[in-house]
Amino acid sequence: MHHSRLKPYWMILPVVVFMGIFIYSILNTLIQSLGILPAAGLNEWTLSYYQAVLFRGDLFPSLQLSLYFSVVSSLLAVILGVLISALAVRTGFTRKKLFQIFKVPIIVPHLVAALLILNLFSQSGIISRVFYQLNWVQSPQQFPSVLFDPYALGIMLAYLWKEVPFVILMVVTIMEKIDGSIGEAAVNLGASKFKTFYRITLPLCLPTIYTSFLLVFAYSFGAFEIPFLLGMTSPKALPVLAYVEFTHPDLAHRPYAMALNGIMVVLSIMLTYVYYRIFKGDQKAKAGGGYQ
Amino acid sequence: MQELLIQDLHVSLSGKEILKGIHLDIRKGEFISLLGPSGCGKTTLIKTIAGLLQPDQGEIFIRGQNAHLLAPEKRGTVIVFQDLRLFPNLNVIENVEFGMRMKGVSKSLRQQKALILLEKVEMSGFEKRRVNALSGGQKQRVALARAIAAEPSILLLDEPFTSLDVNTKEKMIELVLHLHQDLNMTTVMVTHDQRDALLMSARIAVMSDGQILQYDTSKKVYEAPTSPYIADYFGKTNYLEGMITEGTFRSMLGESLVSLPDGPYRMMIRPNHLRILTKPGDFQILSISFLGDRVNALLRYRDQDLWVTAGPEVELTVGERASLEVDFSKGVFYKKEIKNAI
Amino acid sequence: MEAINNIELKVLPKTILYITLFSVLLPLGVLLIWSFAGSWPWPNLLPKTFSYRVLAELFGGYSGALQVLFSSVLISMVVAFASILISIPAARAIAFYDFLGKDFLQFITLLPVIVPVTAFAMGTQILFIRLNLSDTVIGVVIVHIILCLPYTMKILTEVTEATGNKMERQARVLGATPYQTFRYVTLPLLMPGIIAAGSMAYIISFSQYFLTFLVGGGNIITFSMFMFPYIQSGDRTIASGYSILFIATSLLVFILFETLMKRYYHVEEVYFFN
Repeated sequence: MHHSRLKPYWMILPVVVFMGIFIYSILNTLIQSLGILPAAGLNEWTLSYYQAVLFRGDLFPSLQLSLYFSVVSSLLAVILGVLISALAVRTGFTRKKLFQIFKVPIIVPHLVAALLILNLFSQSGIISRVFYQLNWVQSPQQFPSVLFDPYALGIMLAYLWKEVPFVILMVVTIMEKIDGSIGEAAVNLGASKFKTFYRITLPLCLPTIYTSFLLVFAYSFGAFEIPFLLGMTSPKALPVLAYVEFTHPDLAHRPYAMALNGIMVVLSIMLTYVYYRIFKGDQKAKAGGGYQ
Repeated sequence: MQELLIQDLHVSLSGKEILKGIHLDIRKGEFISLLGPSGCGKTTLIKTIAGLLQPDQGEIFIRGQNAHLLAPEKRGTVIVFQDLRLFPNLNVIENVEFGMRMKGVSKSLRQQKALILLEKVEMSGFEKRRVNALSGGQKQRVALARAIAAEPSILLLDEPFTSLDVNTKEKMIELVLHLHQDLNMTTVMVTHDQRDALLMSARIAVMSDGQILQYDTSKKVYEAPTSPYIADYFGKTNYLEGMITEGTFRSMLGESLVSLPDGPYRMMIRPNHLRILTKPGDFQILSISFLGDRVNALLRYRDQDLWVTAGPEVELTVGERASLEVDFSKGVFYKKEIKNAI
Repeated sequence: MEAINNIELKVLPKTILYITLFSVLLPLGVLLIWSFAGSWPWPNLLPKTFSYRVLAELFGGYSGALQVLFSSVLISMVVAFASILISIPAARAIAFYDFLGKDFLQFITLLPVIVPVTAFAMGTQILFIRLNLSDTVIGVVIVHIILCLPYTMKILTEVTEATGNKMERQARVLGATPYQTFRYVTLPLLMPGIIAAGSMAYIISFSQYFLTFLVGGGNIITFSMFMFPYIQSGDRTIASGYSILFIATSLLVFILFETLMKRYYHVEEVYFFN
């Protein structure tokens, strides 16, 4: 049915064009980060902006902060998500209508998630009021400042609210499938339900679990809204800092912003590469490489 | 004591009753088949025996013990599933060892046993292979070895030959029979193929719509089916119309003494118990099918159709007229219900 | 004994599950209450007075909220539709053909998910200024599509590969023209994937803030952008009200879309996001 050898190229053309725009933009960012910005009279390739970013006092803490809260919140989200998925699959909860509630956070945008956390955890929030009813605090100020704090608790809570259901939805489908067929075989061969989960179901779900980690990490690392709304004034998360430099009236600040972006881009791509090596390597082993 | 005894078992799935009162008994070392079309409940039955499904009603006794007291992993009932379900994250020998490992058998001992079993199923040398790299027949052997390695007291096979090509299937049948003889393992095989059931089983339980219609030795089920449905399941068969009065069955092919109450009957007679006599007769030969080692012919007289199986040496032509001889001693009689006209 | 073990095991997991569900729903419930709160001083657990301020702002006409909502929905629908439109042929190409750069394309298509939005957004500026797309709706639509492509491509490629083209070949053999085949065989088979991909694309576009903000300048205002200042400020009532509206609108769009497609194409099972 191949009428012309060029046919597939026409079919992918629109997508290629759009992705081309994307690549161009990223390259733009990288080029500007390396000092080429004719509009500001900068025409020399240089690594000085990267140097500045890495060694300037206020910029390295941002990198630290971003890495910290994305890694921690993503790990937590995945661990919790997998645990809850396991419980849901074990108890057959996945078939209940109530389970659909886990789909709701997908529809809620991140900025609203920030608002939700504000409503609940701010010093005048609902939880603080409940504490008052329990006589644990007498005034709003006594309630611990969970948001805008150095441990980025507010940020992580907001990400968790969105990401745990996301991980659940990703993992639960494959977990159920495996548990039903192969899990049944394992139990039949004498494995306890726990051993079955630990030795058979979980290992087989790992690719999906890794993928979900990659997705939530990449997102929380590079997203703007939640750290902007719930973060401290200093240090700012990396995307927020990039934005601040980007909107600086002095165009000479632009390369700093781009260098920050550049670091984020490099880190994300490195992570994806590592993921592909683990994941694809794993797949290869399972698909039937070597017999000794 | 019976190895397996089932009494009045009722099982539902998602609200629908699948098994409607199953009674079954199996002796130690016996090989029986659950035979029936898809949907009749055979797989549900073995899953319930293995403890993967809970019954609504009824009892299962394994070696005299009520199975209700035994967790699925402790019953000793191992299933080889139709879709095999080998563990993709473990290699061949790890799969085979799995049951023993769960029981806590030492590594050296279970490796030893696994190797012996792999040899029995002719899969020596495949120990470290990934299961996804195996062919269908090879996977089947590994699944079989895995089940046997778990040292079951009852081996349950769910449609073990369905996805195999003819040659592989023949080899697998040989293998299963050989293993059964070798290990004297009580085996229950689920199948829809009547020939496999007849070939391999000591007794066959013919199932339909959640019930066991007849449970008897292969010979009896074939030669003395208790209903036309069962008779038909085993292949083309004939029903000779006739009447029994005062101990004699009268039909267009002759008479025979039968001690059954008077009334209209149909006599089930297998095609190989009819003989064509070549002198011209009443029956017209409608069609002839050549099957290599035998010939199936369809003959008709008035509204009675009869299939006859003859040896290839018999000369037959379509359109010829012949008469038939029947061996009444092999007939099975079913009373016809008289429908009252209003 | 087995029976007792089963009960014990069931209670703990179920409690944890219900607690999790509660943690998902509670914030939303609070959001809903805030929407209608007039005066809600600390430490009351419920508002002291209720008010319909949100509704007044919405329908009063002077805030422009409804117009923004409407145009945002429209923009996101266009984005979803366009993303699907260009993904279908590309998915087919990947599923059924071999071509140079196939693996590369699949990798590239995943990048918008991995690479931070800020890097992308800030990089588009120069290009868009040159193409006169800066601060325009088209520019916004284009960048939204780019963000949606990883998802629509992944979903549609999976569905296309899963269904294969045997049905279509059968149709052609029976005499159907390419157009007829597409309309009566391919499209219905793809429909579950289209609905999933469309929902995903819609919500990604509708929720997008930063990218729209940078590319659209102050000119193109989507509902997310409209809400942003209210969330930043202290006006919980309006912010919550608009948030509820956001969620409600999205749910409505999904239900509408799903019912229409189900009815028209006799699709049995539809999965929202997977």
